Amino acid sequence: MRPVPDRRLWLLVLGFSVWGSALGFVYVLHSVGCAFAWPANAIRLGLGLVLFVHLALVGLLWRSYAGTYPGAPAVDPTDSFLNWVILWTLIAAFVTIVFTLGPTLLLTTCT
Amino acid sequence: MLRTLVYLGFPVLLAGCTGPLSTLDPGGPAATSIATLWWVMLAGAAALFVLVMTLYALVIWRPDWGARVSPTRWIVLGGLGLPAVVLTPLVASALVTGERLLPLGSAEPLRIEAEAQRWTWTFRYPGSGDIKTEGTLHLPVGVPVDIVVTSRDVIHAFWIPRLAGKIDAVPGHTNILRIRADVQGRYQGLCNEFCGSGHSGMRFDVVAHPAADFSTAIAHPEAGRK
Ligand SMILES: [Cu+2]
Repeated sequence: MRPVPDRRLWLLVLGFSVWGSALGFVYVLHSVGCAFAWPANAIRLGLGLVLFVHLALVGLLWRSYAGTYPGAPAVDPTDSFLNWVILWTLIAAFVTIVFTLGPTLLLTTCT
Repeated sequence: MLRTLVYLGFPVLLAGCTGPLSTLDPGGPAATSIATLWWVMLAGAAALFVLVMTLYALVIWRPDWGARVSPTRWIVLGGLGLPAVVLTPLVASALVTGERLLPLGSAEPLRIEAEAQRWTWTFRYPGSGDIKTEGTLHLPVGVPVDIVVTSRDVIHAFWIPRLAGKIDAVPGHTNILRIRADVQGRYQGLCNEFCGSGHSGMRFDVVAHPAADFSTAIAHPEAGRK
């Protein structure tokens, strides 16, 4: 468990900021790809890469907040609560990326 | 008192389900899929509402039952399990419907151009001579038509609620909406993207003619305005 220092409340939005970034990149790549008539498979590959990079990022953060410090001192209850919330918003963000953006890989790219 | 309010309020709400701009009174396949999706979403929302209210009633009437369920279980089952079970089929059906609404397929249907300009709609019929109509879109019945939508000034949106979903009219860009009117007669269309002070009056008429009369109808647009 990783103690969360004071003034780091912004970490509460960490997971969903990564989700927001993934949404932005997917949206832009899809629109630009269709506007310039890129081949559907190239667009899909790009979207897959965007999703993979963001999932990997959330995964790394998830691991880092779930990991334990060997010999960590007794943690303040507030720190431990924040750590718990950050960890679970990261997990929720991971599932959300798969659930909301994953289908873009299967659907028709451009018309 | 509450009962009276419900009895009085219900017909008022139901009155919104009909009329020339009703999405729940579809006149073609695209609008039918959208209306079906709406009913599916309503059923999903109703199911979630009933499930949540049942749990709510249970913890009020049987607080000991509620207390026996651990907080983690409440969060996981109630906050994740319940919505996931209802929302996943809803998302899946929305995605399938979305795919079916796309103008795909090899056959190139008839094209009609729709150009928005504050605050009117101009329709052109390439392939039928240099014909253009202002404020009235003429369609053949039972035939798929690709409406090529664009704008001359700001972003508008093209929407015939009883025939199809909406699509943006973007300056310098064309968007295609495939529609088919299955019932002969008149429909109403409107601009669905706020575009200035005249936005609310930016309506247009749609007349679906029997396919055999279509070319005559657009050649003499005034004849269609009965
Ligand atoms: Cu408009």
